[in-house]
Amino acid sequence: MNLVGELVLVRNRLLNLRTALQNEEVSAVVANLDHVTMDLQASVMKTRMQPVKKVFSRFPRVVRDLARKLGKEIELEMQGEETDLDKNLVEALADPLVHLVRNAVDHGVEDPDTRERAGKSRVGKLILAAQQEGDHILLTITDDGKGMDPDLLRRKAVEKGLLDETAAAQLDDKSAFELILLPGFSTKTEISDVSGRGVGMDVVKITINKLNGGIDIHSVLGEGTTFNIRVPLTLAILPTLMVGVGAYNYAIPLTAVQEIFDYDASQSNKIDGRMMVRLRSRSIPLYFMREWLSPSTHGDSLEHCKVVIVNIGAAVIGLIVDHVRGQEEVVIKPLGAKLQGAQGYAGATITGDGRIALILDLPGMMNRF
Amino acid sequence: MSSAIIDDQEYDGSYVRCVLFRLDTENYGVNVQNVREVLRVNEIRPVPGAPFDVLGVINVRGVIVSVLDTRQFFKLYTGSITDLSRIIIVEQQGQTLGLLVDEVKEVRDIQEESIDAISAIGDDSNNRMIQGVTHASAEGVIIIIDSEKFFDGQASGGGGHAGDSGASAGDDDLF
Repeated sequence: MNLVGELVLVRNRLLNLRTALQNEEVSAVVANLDHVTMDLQASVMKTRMQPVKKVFSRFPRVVRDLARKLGKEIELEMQGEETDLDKNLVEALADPLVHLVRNAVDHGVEDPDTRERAGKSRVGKLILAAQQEGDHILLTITDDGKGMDPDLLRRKAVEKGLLDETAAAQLDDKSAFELILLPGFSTKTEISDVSGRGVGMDVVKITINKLNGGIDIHSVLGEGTTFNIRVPLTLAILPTLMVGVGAYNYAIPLTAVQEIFDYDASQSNKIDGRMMVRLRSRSIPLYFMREWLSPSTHGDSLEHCKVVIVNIGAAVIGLIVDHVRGQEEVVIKPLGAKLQGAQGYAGATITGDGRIALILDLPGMMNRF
Repeated sequence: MSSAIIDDQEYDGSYVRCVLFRLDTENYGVNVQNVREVLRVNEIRPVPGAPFDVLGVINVRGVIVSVLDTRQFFKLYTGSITDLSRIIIVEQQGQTLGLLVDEVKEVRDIQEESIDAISAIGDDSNNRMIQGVTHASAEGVIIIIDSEKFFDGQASGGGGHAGDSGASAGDDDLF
């Protein structure tokens, strides 16, 4: 797999050279190599793909045992078991999924009597589904249990000192649900040996984030909860947007990028000391990448700069960069010794011209600055 | 000339094979067993926000290697890169690091018994990078460094949150 990654990098370099050389014969050969590399990459990927069934197959038992122990009646439905996923991902996803399923059985679905009183069928329903969405896999875990109460979550967050009252009151319901992903957060007052110990959901979140994925939660009180997990199909090769800041190139993971446009000073305002840009009657905070990455050129004119609008979790921000070089598939390489764990970078890669580009880790970058 | 020099013909102890290099005006040696290769200085890609002693990263045949500003470890001012400058790639347990030095001179066998612990020369600053000092050379003093010590201490900028990484796939399907 690593070798295919290297091959992709060499291919990228050749593609770059082809543009520089303008030689027809070379062009044809490189185009051919490009195709072969793509095919090879695709077939290597394919051999690494495994159906998600491999993880799912353990759940009927997990659910049955747990339901019996808790005196609940639960029917498990599985969809999209034949969806293929990278081998590493299949292994890495097993633990978080088990955790979420156990949570759904323990916290989500009510016991039969409560369900009957609420006018639902005695048998709770749990749906585990996988489907491919472009270059991502979407896994959903849905239960028709009691759902989550955003007000209760807000109160708990204040009690535990994770938030102050004003901040808690300002949270919308969706963000309130995300509180359960914080370490040390549990609304259960009694601890069972199944779940409710306040550890686990944060680990789930960290695991998913490590896989370059995301998790979001929908819940309606009294009707049930859905967890959506999105992970990329593969871990080895990352589509990125290459941007230039100062003298160097940086790669932004393409999944985060929403749109790119020219920086126009007349369209930006200073609101409460922060630069904002107007975009379709919405103000988006701007961050100057030069300030972070190339302080020596920070004062230079912003003419010809570009704004890259990116999603960071639920937030949308604009990054001001000097150039946009285009899209490039990169192989993620770890930064060298002493730099591993340096916040703000997901790794580095070798670009088409043989130089090193740093891959930005946007959430980490935001934390640091 | 120090009296510590014993003629090689008379010396029957063991030798340490060292790569000799120069930083500023002093000569240093590093055990050849820890050295993987010596490279000419090409472009060193700076990493904004990295610890102050890390100059940046280089591409060694597809592997990203951090390069340290070696001068800083020996309380010398940062120098400029010249034609003589080299990067010594040292390794330890599969990890590699580049040490930027002003000049690489030669590989030489040094009589192990001639190496004095640094405390023996009355310096109590205890630079932990320095393993010892030998006077058994025609040029004078050679400072023997312990390359493994350079691997100690991870990035100070990180909070161990490298895992908190990556594109969070938002709610919207962008592409």
